[in-house]
Amino acid sequence: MNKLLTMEDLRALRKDALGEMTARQTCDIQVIVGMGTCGIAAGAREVVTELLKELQRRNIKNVSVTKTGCIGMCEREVLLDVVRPNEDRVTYGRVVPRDVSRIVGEHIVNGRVVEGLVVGRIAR
Amino acid sequence: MVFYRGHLLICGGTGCVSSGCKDVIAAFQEELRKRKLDEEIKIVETGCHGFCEKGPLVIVYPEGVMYCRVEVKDVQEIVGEHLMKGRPVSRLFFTEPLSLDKVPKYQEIDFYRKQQRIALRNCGYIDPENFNEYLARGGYAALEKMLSEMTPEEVTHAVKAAGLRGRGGGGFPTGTKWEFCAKAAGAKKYIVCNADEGDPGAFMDRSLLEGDPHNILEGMMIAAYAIGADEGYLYIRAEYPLAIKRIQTAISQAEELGLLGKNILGSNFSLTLKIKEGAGAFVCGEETALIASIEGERGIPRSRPPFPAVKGLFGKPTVINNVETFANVPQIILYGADKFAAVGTERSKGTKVFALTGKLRNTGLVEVPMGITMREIIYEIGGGTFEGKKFKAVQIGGPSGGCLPENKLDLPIDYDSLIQAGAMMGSGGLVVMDDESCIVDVARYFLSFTRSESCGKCTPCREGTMRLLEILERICAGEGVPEDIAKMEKLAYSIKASALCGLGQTAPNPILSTLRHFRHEYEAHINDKKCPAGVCQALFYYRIDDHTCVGCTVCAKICPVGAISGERKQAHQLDMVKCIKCGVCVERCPFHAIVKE
Amino acid sequence: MQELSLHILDLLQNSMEAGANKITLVVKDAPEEDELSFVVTDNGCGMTAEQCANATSPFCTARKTRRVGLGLAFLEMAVTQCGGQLRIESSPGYGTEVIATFSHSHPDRQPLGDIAGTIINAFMGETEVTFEYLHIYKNKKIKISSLKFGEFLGISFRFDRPEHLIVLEEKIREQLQTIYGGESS
Repeated sequence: MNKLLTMEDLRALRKDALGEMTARQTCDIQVIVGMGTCGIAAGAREVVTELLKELQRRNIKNVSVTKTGCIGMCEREVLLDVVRPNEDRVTYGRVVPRDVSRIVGEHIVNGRVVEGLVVGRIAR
Repeated sequence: MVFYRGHLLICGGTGCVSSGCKDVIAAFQEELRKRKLDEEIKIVETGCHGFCEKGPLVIVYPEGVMYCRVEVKDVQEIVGEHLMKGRPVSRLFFTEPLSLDKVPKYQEIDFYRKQQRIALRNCGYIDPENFNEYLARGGYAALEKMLSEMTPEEVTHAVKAAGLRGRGGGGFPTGTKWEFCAKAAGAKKYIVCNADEGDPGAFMDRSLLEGDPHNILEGMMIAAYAIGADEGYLYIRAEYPLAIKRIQTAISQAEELGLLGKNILGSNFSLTLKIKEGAGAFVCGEETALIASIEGERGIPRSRPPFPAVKGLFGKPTVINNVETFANVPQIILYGADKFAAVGTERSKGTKVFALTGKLRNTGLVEVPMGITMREIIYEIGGGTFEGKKFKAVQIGGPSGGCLPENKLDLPIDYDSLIQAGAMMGSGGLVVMDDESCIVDVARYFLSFTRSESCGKCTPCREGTMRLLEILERICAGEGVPEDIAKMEKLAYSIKASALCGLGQTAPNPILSTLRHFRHEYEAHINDKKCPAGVCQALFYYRIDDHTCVGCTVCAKICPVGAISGERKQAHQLDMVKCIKCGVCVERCPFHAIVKE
Repeated sequence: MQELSLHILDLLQNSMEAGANKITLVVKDAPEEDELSFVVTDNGCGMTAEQCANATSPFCTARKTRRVGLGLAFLEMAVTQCGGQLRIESSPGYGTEVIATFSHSHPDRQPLGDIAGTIINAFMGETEVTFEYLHIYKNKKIKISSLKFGEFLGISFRFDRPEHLIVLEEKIREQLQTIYGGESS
């Protein structure tokens, strides 16, 4: 190994090291939020902020939160998809920050779909 | 760089080594090679996961599935089913002791879910001998941050603001200790890591050293920078060969990379670290005795002041901190004092690692926030006592601590609340006892430990522990007299007041706390000559019940001293003169005809 | 969209959809010069001169799921209603730069809004993108780069863990607090 003479060297080495560890992260539940212009204008950012806070409050660690662009259902934005392992992908529509705690508590934690907000389902 | 689609983490801590993980690792390597998966799946030997009782533990990533008590014969199935076909092997999952649910993911097991891992964050997750894995977990980021933007005073201030207190037992504020040393006169200063863990049943320091050695080194580097030291020692007992090996590897890696040595990362900060192997005397955990031992003298304490922070190793100002204390330091620097201080109670911040042992369903190493109650640790993490057994007491803090009864279970645990309750944080041993444990016998055990570990320098400890032990042995032998209790109390308080070092000052704690909470057991031993738990051999005897005994002869055959006699199909007799009270006959009798009285 | 930071989020999103792996955001808040401006620069696929000229038209979009594209049109509206300027410079294969300048004191100028929330939403889930964020207020500035933060938190390129995103958000808020010191833009 080469000697690390500066902080830059250390950072560069760490960056390489990070790649080797990718496989060791577990995120089995995925939440995907629509973040096209339509999503943003409908309040997607506020929904995500609330979602992150809610997950933090409940100390839930195995959820990954990602975003996607416009999928063409602009009038139903904010769209939020929940994907649990071995279950259907459920799309919620017209989500507002107020709905977040229910989606987290019911669906993400307990696996019970919040039927009233569902706008689509994709079978696995 | 080779990309592995899955990682197979196999625990290589001392606990799992003794339950055979080396053979399991070899079997996995063989099996992966045979199925040509060795370029897809990486085997990683990690440090301790804390759940040693269920070892050898194997965790498969990216799924995070944990297998318990994996044997060589299970390897083929795990590889064939899980790694080839993606079907986890459910029969090896952990079973929750109460609900009997099979839990595949280790984060979802109650034992882990209720924990908050700060010091142990990397233990069991990384390969302790692979520098890159520590780095990838944010390792040495605190060092980098400190060297680029903090002055030594700011570092000390951050540790002080975080409210970190010594994890070795005393609970002295770490930042204050550093401040004393930083302000002490003299250019040459030392940093010392106290890894002379000697409490019976405690192994958190060992796990930290084995599981995440670079974290300890980074903590020491930060402390050295704060106090202005350029040389340091890790005092590790020779009974921890794996810990010594891992630390040595880590030091060599750091030296090779220039993270130890002169002008670290281009800064003005220089540090060299050395290992000093201790011979395993309990008293060497006391800081002045530890200093004497490093200096090459006999490991005996001296009186304080002067404190080591002013006049320590080789007469120079020295900071001595426990392993777990150092383990917390990089996190404080990296994420800030507030983040650290957000966890815990008013006066005890952060988390504490406990070695949970005794009569419990789940035993192992647990890290919990300060302020958690004993009930949560014992029942929610530990799964409670075994079926049909009643909780009696929990011994906390090892030979310096005390026993707490059931009515103290809801006490939020921190340094101060424990002292008030007559126990002590100590280094964090938690031994749970049920109604089959005799409190007087436990006190006797700890006294015999401190008696034999007393260095003999001061009279109160050398003679006092001896006399206390004599009284306890007499009580256990059924020869106690009512005055004994008062005599012990008087002796205990004078030892506490006059002993030279922490070992002597705390040695009477096991007696005092049990006298406080379990006086009735002492009285039963002394006045009624009875041991309620049936442990003290002199205070009970066995009897064969004529009506229940069918004369099957099992007991007569099994008795090692031939104390049982009788004809076939006739009630047997037990000769109490010959009986050594080993209890084998009780265990073996199919008709429960042998009773203890 | 009621806040400038939402327009910024939209621009960042555009950049990522253009396949950029390096995006820079500069926010300049200069009440003394009566100027509030932001610049988003990326190294994505870029646009031809013709696409560039039509970029702010609501009936021009590259996507297939719908026929309208409103993002830049909204931004243009926000700019023109307060006498500002919008400039888009782009070259195919090299990337795009969007510069929006507003009159700081104009009553119709939208507030900057929750910039920290915007940044973490933009960072979220991205694997290959390097962000640079520079915020200048009067003569003080802060700089945050996603690469540095990823390393800092010890995670490998995937910014999708709630706990990490929240740490980052707090960090940005904290830093903004240091340069604003209680004042608002």
